[in-house]
Amino acid sequence: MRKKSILLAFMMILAISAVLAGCGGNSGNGTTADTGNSEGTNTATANSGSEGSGETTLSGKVTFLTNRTDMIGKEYDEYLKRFNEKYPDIKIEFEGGQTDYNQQLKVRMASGELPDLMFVPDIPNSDLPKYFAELDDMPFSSELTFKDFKSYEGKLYGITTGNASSGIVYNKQAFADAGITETPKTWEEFLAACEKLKQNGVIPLSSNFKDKWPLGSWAYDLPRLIENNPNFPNEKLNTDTPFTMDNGYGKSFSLLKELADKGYLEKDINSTNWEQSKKDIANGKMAMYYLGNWVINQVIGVGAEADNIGFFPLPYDNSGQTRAGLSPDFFYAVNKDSKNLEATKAFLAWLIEDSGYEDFAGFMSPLEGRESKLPQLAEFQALAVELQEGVADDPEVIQISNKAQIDLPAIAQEFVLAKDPQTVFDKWNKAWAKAKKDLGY
Amino acid sequence: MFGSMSYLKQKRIIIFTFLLVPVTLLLLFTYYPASKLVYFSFTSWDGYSPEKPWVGLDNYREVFSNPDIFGVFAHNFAYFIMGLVQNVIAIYFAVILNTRLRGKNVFRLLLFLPYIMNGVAVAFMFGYVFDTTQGSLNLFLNSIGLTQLSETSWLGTKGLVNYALASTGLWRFMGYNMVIYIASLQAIPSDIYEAAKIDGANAWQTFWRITLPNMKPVIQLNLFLTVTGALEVFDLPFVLTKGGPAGASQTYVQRVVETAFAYNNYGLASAMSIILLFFVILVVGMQQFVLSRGGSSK
Amino acid sequence: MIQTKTIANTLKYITLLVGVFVVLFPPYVVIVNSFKADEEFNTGSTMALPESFFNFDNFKAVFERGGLINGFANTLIIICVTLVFNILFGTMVAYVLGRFDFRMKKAVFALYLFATVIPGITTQVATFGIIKSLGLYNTMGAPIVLYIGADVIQIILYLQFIRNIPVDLDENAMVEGASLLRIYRSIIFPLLTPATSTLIILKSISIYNDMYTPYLYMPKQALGVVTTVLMRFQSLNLANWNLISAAILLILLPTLILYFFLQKYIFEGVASGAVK
Repeated sequence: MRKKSILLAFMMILAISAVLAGCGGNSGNGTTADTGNSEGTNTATANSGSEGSGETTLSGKVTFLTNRTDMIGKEYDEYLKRFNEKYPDIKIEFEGGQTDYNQQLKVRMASGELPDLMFVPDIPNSDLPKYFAELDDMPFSSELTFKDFKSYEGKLYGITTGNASSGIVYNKQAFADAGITETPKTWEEFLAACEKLKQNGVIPLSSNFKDKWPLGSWAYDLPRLIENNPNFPNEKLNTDTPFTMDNGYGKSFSLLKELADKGYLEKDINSTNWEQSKKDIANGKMAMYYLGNWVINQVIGVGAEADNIGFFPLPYDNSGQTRAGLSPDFFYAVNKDSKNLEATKAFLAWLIEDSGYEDFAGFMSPLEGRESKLPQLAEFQALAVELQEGVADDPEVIQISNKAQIDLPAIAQEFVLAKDPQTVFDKWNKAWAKAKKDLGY
Repeated sequence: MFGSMSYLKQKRIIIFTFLLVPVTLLLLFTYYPASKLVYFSFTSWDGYSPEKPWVGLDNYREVFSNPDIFGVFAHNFAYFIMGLVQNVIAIYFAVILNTRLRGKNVFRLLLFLPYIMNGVAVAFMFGYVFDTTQGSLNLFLNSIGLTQLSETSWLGTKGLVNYALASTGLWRFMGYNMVIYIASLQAIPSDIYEAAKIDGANAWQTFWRITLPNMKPVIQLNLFLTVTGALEVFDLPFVLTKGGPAGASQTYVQRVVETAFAYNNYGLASAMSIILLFFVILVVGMQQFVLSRGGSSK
Repeated sequence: MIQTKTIANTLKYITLLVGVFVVLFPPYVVIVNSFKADEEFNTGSTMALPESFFNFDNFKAVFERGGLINGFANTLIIICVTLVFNILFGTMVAYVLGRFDFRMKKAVFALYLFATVIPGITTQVATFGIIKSLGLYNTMGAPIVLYIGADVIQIILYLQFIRNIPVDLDENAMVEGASLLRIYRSIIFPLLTPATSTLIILKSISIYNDMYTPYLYMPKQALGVVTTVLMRFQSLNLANWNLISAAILLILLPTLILYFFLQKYIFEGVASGAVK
């Protein structure tokens, strides 16, 4: 009986808290509705009494759906403080998205519930004007890099958050301990260096094969570098067999396969651990990454000495000449129906010009001619590497790829694991040709 | 007022009012979206834009013209097997933790613990459990002398990866099933047991003749959930292997999600979902048929 | 006779200990790393024991990072409101399905059962549209209505229990002239408490640990719940696992407490107390 009354008491508390919570929830809703209204009225009001500088004072609330959830409540708080010194009346609301950012955004798009500021999802460029605002009037638009990537009919809809060059990020101490005195200039030298590292008990290259995305440099950058043709990925359109052993894809994947077969990658490439690999690069148990330069800051972040980490281009053949890929990361876009378009653009401009995000994240600036603070990049550029910029994807190629469900890093995985890689290529060539025919190209 | 009505009238009112809101919610949040799914499956919708061009049966034709899509169902078999094992273990622990046993509260809590842990932890933990070279499982196997076995690539071997992933599910949800089974054991009135005792039934007989039959609806439900869960598994391979090695642990729902959001083909993905739905109904129907036959023959 | 009993008991304990070992094996890595300072975590082996089990810096850092208290509060509100409706609707539906015969009975039950078959991940676009048109997007109302929406487990659980509540009790009450509403309120509902406690545990935990619903339907920072706050300790390819480990253990505490508080009600059973 006593137990019963305790339970009854518990149920009562539950019910009461529910009622209270209901109220709390309501009042919460109330406030959002209120701010919603004030947003409408405050939209980009040009204040007549602007302080001396003659700058218009913008106000309003801007929501930013970011995939850097780790910065929410941390670096972003500090960004906000600095931003508000310039624009005290703009409120920024951060929303977090993660691995399925693309999916989350598309679900919201389908219901017309986009945030003010976001990253461009995977949609064809022809759809950009339907959702995003033109950004040609941004103050720095003439200095922007990769302007044509997210443009349609000559108008700009997406601005790169930062750019990165792909190359070999390595632990200098691990190289020195293995007796490697010079960074390799040819593929032969590269293999020799790997062998020395392996003999010294170090895993030569950390591929993070299992996670798939770390194979991006092999799947997106290296093929076009080998072909010396930035437009190589788009030229798939003209063929029914885009994957052959002697073109960029076949050569690039074969290099990766060679490293795997010779035991220069992780002991079991199907059991890799990304966070652990950063620690292992930092402490020299693993020697190299083939990734974008953004990873340098992350390796330093887990305890590597900055001057112990070096960066050089991957010598993919024996010519002694090297090229490295230069690619943009995510692209910022502004909701065209934003209630606070001007405020959003002001925040975007601030992010690009003043936030210092590119240095924090280890990127090169989205703006031309800005020096990166990353010493490794200066070192890299001193090697007289030819930086090959990527080009925007052809919308028809995207359409065929989607129809055939082509995922290049996944094909690279299959290729490396297959006994006979040609069968993998045959399979995907067939899928490609069929999709191409079905779509009538 | 209400009390003065006839019981028949009261009954009608109660049935109507008690079901009204719950069933409305059910229709609104489950069946309306499902009906939309059917509609999408006849379009070539990309998943976000306002236009949804009607294509008739094209999506269904495309799915069936590409039969290797169904090949991935073979991977789901492991989840089904492990799901059965999970239920057997859960019933076993539920039964023995329902008897007088010293420390049973502590055991109940510990066995339930995995279900309490946050999903974020699961990927992290099992990443380290299954790691080939420095994983805790292989270190443990090595330390107890099973050196050969300790070289196993749990997530990198084709025949093994799905069982490894499914065992993660077993680890996580066994305690959940156990608690449901314990609750259903509690619902069996104790006088039945007392009567059995008087009749001189031993522990096994009691279990077989009283406990199991009384748990039947819950066991059936759990089996039903095991089957649907096995056919619709998605998050474990997504988090731990990304479907690798070379697609060996890819599941059907994972393909559906990729088709919808990575390849912008929501119409095709919807058709795939509807086909999955029919498939699940078929399997569950067969299961119900077998179970009810088994039940009536006794 | 006594000997076989001891053997049986020993076997029980052996299997239980094996079970506990398997259960505690994976979390080892979480526990040891939650006590490691950044440098220790970065330089040492992930499997190694921490230098000290009294290094609570990570736990402190998790709290100082902020958002967690707010996350707890939001989660609590969502759980409480959801549970009240879940219990209410669950017992109501079970009462109707378990005690009365009517034409649509089988259909209603099938409706609930079939609902579990529909893969939720593919219907989210349509669900999102409904939430938005109800004006619930980015409010706590969104996860609440979705959690209340459909759950067949509670219906089955309640049905199972209601079957074991003797119908005599209803009939006696009817003889005394009690209305059906009163029978539901003072006989059925109280006698379902063991099922209700089970439901409270299982449902609170599943809501507490659900990341996807709050993540999609209320991304606003102020509406962070425990799981979405936990998400802020990692990003696309960046995670502080020693900090996350501490956070995971920290957010485990409230559920453990809830379990301790409720377990005697779950496992008390109908037979032992409530009927009398």
